[in-house]
Amino acid sequence: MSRPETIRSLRDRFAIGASLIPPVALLMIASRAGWVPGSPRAYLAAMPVVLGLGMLFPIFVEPWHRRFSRMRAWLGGRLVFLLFLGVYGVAVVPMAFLMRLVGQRPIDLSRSGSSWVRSKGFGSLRDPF
Amino acid sequence: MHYVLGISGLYHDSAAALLGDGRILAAVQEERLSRRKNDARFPERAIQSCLDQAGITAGDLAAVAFYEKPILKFSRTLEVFLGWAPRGGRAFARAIPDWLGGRLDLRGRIRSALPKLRVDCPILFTTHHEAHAASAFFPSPFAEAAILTVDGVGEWATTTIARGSGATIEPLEEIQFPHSLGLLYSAFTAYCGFRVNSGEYKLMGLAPYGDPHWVETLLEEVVSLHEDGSFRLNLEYLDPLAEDHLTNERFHDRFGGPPRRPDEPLEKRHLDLARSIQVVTERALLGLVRRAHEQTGSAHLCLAGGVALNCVANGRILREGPFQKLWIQPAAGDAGAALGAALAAWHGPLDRGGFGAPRIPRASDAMGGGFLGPEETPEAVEASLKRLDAVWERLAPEVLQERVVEALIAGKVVGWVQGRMEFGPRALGHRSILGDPRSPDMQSRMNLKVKFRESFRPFAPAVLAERSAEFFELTGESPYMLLVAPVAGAQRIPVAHEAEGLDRLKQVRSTLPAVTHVDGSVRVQTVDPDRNPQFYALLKHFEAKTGCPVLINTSFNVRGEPVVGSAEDAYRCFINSQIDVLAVGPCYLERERQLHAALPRSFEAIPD
Amino acid sequence: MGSLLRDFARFLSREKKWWLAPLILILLLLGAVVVLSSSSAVAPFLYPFL
Repeated sequence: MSRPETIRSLRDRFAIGASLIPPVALLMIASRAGWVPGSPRAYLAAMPVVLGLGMLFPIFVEPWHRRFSRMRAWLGGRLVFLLFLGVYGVAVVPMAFLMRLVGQRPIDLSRSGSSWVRSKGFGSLRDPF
Repeated sequence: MHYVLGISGLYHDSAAALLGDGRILAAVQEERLSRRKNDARFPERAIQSCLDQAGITAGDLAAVAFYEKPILKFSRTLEVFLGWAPRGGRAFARAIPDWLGGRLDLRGRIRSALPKLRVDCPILFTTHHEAHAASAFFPSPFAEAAILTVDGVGEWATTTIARGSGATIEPLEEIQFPHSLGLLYSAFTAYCGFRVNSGEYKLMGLAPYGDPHWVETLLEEVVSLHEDGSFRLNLEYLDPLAEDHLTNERFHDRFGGPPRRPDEPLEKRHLDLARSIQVVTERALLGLVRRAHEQTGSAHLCLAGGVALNCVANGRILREGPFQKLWIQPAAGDAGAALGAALAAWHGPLDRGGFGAPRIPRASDAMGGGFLGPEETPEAVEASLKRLDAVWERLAPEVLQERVVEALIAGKVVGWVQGRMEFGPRALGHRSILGDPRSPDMQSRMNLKVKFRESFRPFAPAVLAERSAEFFELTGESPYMLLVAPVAGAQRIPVAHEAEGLDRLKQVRSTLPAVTHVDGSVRVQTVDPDRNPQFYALLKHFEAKTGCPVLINTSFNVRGEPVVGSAEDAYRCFINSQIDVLAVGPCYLERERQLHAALPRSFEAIPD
Repeated sequence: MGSLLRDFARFLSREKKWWLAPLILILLLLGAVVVLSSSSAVAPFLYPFL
């Protein structure tokens, strides 16, 4: 369920306005390479303007803001996934093999014998561990 | 007064519970308020509802207790990956960012959600199974008891045995991940095409339609049950870190094909697997129960953890196990752990950071019938109905009951919303859909037309406690609908030719066909005047008119929807399904008189 | 963050699981980067990059 935004705190306004800056920045980079018309300076100057417009008239900018946020969330999710997949490959997997080399395996995969473990008692309630 | 707030969540079924000087004042599942089934988000609405019910703010709290040790659980997660690598990379890349993003720093999370919390208000942490054990023992009627908790996994433990005595719980022994009955049952749930952590109930409902001919295979290859009650899973068949299902290729080859997708038809194979895993689970649980008896020597048993919601197994534990008395926490799943965490903090010894409070067990139990949620005033109910353009009559309680009973006798389906909302997965007569159990087509009608769910799913009867023995072979009471018992001999009707598979559904097996499962058993709710006076009065009324002290009682919701909470939820559900009559608070509504034919629903439908 | 690190240190010493420390440190650092970049005021500027 998506409800229309009703809260317009300064922070929200800022976020809405600021979300317009990265596309302008991309245009600026593209203009330096000559792919789009206009000078990089003009795009640079446009940045505070779009920020201000976004903050003053968030209603008009919001559809774009929402689209960009979705894009950002999607891209961010992908990147984080790949990042942690990488960590798994370079940190967890080698460490796991190293541990197995010295005869350590943190989970008990054996199939025979009792699986009862004496309880160590409850620790302090104050500790999150 | 000292108020202690308990919180569970961020994994599945978030909830909050509030104690006032040790008395349970309120307990609410987040899903009932957020309208998202099994909602796992931080339970902000549930917390607020608990505080509102007690008329306090977070500033009045003496302690907050969370139902898990996040750092211990995080480290267990890492160790499991280290033990499972090089498999599990994808699961790692999905799970770990989630952990780092807000499941580790629970103190910070709780403080930011409750800004009014006093700076010196301690935030406490129980282990997952300590919370379950506390939720099973402290509200129970027993001064001393054996405590058995069984679920998927907490920190390391998946199964624990403890001894409860007075206000103390002494943990004795445990079985650790990956050896887990909950995990095993969930693996079969997913394999048969149902959703993990909620579809287990459907698998159990499906079991009586199948034959148990996979039991030996399962016991030889997938799970070994030992003499001492412990068990081990064979991880060559299971993949506890897989994302969409918990079984692997080898399992699929062994059990006749890939996992069933939710939209594919149920085959005989699935029915047989459901039956087989149910049989294995019952055997394993009976072994655990015997062990708990040996270790404690107690005559009483308290049960909690998600597996304790398997009411078929619970019935066998009561009939065949070594314990004389059994008490099961009605919110046995993770929601109940919010209550357990608060109780563990309240009775926990001072040197552990608890309040060290003594405990006096109550003769019935301390759960208040399970009615621990919010209740709307008649004025609020009428205001909601008015806003929705509903057409209603406001009636005196006796007249309302009279009208509802007349409707039930006429074969109508009645939505019944009265008093405080239930805490726990079952509707116990405060947020229920009711029907006449003597009608043979009522089960199919209520399943298909009212609840829009699979026709095989059985309903439960609510029976006047004092007449339960005439209808069901049940020793003792079952106020929380957590026990399955056979239909009494006098009520049975023999079946000439047993049909096959799901066709068995259509055969009449007792004088109460709509609530009798194909194996002649019933999931009973006994209703007594102390715990549940309003519902008791309704049943009395129905009995006076018909001689039958039984009603069909099913939760007030449709497929994919959490049980209704407010009058507004109830009205929307009433309009959008084929419920004939709605009784909410003092208001009586008939379908034919409503102006709406449909209304936008107020919940996020969760697929099976 | 400080109290979290302290909790981790006490936990690892109690359980004598110091070998987990490097992995936990790496993950906490990465986590801090991810959390900062997604919830702070700079977040809106970063979407093409994260």
